[in-house]
Amino acid sequence: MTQSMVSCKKIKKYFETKSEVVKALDDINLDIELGDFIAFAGPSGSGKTTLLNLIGMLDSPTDGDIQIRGKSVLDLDRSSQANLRKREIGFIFQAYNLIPVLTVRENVEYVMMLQGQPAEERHQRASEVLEEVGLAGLENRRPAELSGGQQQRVAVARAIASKPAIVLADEPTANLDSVTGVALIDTMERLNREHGLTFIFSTHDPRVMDRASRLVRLKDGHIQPS
Amino acid sequence: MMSFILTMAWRNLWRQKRRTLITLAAIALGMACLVFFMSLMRGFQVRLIGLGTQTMKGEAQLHVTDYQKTHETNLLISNLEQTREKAQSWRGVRAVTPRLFSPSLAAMGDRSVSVELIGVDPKTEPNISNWKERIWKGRYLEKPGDIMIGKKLAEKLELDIGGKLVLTAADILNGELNSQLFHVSGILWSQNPQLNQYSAIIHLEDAWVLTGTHDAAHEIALVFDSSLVDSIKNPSVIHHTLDSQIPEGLELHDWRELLPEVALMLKFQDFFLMLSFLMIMFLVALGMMNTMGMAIIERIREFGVLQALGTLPKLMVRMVMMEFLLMGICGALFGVLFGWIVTLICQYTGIPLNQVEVSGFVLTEPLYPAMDWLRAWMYAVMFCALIPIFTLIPVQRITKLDTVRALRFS
Repeated sequence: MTQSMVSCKKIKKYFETKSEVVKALDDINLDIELGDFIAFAGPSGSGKTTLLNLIGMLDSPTDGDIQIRGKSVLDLDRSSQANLRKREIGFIFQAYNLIPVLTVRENVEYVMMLQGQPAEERHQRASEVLEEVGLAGLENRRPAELSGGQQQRVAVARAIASKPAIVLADEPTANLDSVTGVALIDTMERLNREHGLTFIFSTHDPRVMDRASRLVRLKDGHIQPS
Repeated sequence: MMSFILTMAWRNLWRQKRRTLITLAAIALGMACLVFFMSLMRGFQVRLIGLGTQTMKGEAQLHVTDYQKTHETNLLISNLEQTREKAQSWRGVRAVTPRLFSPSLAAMGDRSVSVELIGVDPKTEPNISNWKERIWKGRYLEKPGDIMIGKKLAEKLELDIGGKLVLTAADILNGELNSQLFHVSGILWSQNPQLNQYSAIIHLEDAWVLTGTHDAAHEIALVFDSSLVDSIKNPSVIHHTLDSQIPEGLELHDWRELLPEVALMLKFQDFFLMLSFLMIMFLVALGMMNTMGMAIIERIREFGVLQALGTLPKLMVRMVMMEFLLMGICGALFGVLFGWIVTLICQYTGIPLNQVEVSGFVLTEPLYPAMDWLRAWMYAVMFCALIPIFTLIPVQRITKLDTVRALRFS
């Protein structure tokens, strides 16, 4: 039996408010294979971001288990999870979330810096990745000097620079116009194809859903049968 | 990684320029006040020690054992010439002078008053005390038969230059009374009230006659070459340098032992300075903690991102601490610089003092602050070293950060 890249087993995530218990995710079972280009689709509040956060170890489930490469991440302490995250997972956020005081190059180098890579290697890798996402020549700009599309491409470059196995992207095209959004998905698809990176992203944009090799529809915290 | 963190810290510091500048100004102002206050204290201390050592005591004194404790007049340094020659030859000793003391009665016509007779060597005494420069009227002692008295004593006895004065003192050895007539050669005004009111300064040879002694003195006062012994800053150096050479039966006392009230005052000032440092730094720390609290809240989302990317909370704490350490270092540097500039200006202009009396001395001339670089840097370093402690409270928020909530923070 082949081992899944990510495996979610009977995942539940409940939020307690004063008056009720909100079931953000309820009994989610999902296996994601290496090299998947998978989209979580669904309306707002369906649980897409919550599921991404749980896979990315930014949050912990109320019940169930999440495994990466066959190992449960819930058994890990906070710092081990952080170490696993910086080694295996790249993040792309809806609002880009670049570090405003760092240049494009420094933003891309940040995770590699955390990994302890030597400056020269970081520098070279950042140049390669920025070239790949079409941002060569903008290395020394600050995020505020870039357009939304360019910032999101920097975020993609940051996510893939440290060569993670999985890239989690939370509505990566939501803040972009349709042309820029499609171009970004083109880039992500190419990276998935050429480097075998596993992309897991959430979206409610039908044009983006069409590009996914696998679509997981969520509604009210449940996976909808396809 | 360190240079990356430093770069981030430095740039983060200037994201809110106005706020950073205000906090920086508060640190610099606090440090500058402290440095200037320290310079004032130092100037005051130098003045006070100078007054103590120059008006009477010298920087150290040689006595017969126990004389400093009991002041018994029979505890005399005998073989004076030999001892003073020996003392003069010690390494670092610039000048020595002998003195002999005796309680005596000064009479002029039907007026008489108790005085302290001080027998001095007029040739060597000006190397130690500043009496020659403090002559208010007349001239300094020149020959046996001359007497110098303080201005207040002259007023009390209604004496002027050339006036006659009879001194009566007891023979130290047999207690018989001896009297001698003197002519007032000089009236001095000293910042030491004791000298102004109760002292009669005569030639050592006259003092020997009046006290029935010869080639003897109660003390030998010493001053040092500053190149060898910085006795003002560190009087214990005097003991380290000379103790092994002191002849048997004699003992050496540095100015701190000779001027205990001044030494106590200096200790009090040092304590007060430390208290001021703590108070100023506490206020500055409150300002810094507030700034830091705001900086953290504003960047909660950013910390969430850093955490999502795999940054450990302890690294984020180090980043914030580095930011405030940089701010503290800059503030402290500017503060020391600013304090030094103010000190320089006041060194040029002087700070007028209006006949303030401190520890038995009257301060009349303007006070000139003296920069104490060692202590200024010491306090600056202490402040910077305390910054990680100030930051412990605000950075708690980072260590307890919930990544998902932080990412939603706006």
